[in-house]
Amino acid sequence: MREIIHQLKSSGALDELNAMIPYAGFVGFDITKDEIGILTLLKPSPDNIGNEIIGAIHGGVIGALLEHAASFHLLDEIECTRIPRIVNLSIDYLRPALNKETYARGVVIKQGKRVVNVRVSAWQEDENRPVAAAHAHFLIA
Amino acid sequence: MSLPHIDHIRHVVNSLPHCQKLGLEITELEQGSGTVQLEPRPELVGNIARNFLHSGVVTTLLDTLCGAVASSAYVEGRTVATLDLRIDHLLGLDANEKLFGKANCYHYDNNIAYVRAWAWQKAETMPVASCVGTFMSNGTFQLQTKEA
Repeated sequence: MREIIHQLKSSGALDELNAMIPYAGFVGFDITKDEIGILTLLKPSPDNIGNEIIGAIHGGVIGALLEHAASFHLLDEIECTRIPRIVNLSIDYLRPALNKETYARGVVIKQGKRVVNVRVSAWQEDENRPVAAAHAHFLIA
Repeated sequence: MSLPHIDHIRHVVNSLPHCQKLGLEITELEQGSGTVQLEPRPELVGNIARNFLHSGVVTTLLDTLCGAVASSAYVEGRTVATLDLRIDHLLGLDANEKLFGKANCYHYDNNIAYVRAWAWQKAETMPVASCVGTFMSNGTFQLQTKEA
């Protein structure tokens, strides 16, 4: 598995790794890349609704998107000897996330020998109007 | 014995599209406390090398349960919105084992409900995740919608 990740990473094909993850297909995560770096997309789906009154995406799915985006950001950005393992995360829910394309991007705040601190935010139309943000720790060694 | 509006909250939460899709079920709900369970399924795997469920599965389980427990804490039942949720992922989630959770609302006022929860698989004494969340309380839990 580690070899596969290393290969996909060096060929810049983390979307292929994403395609191998059943849960990513289950909720609808895509991995893309733009000029800044890895961008994780949650595709709209009626199955992801968690609030029927306003038609909002389930907060747990938004949490999962933030975790997924943070992991893939780390896979892309840092050299690690193991698959980053999430230690914890703290999510702030900022605005209702309606059922449309939702993007998430991570940024490494501090990388230590064993632990990395990552910030990640999710938005819909405007990256400057996040629907949720989180900070998380991952073990990387 | 739970109050009628609490049964209604449990029913509405269990009927949410994403809870249905996951097969998430709030099994017990009392005023300010509750339990949840989830049958593992291959589609929920996040780590294929180790056959672990995606960490987002337990995040969703705990968010759902904490929200329901925050709603039920108010005697009249209220809708709530998650303000924040902090989750510690303690162990990998065995994709062959059922997932359970328990939560209690340890404080609430007119605006905010404070909830703690934990999840386990093989034994409650071996938690796989724990969390604490705060919820904004909104209106009275609506007794409309599709109660058949």
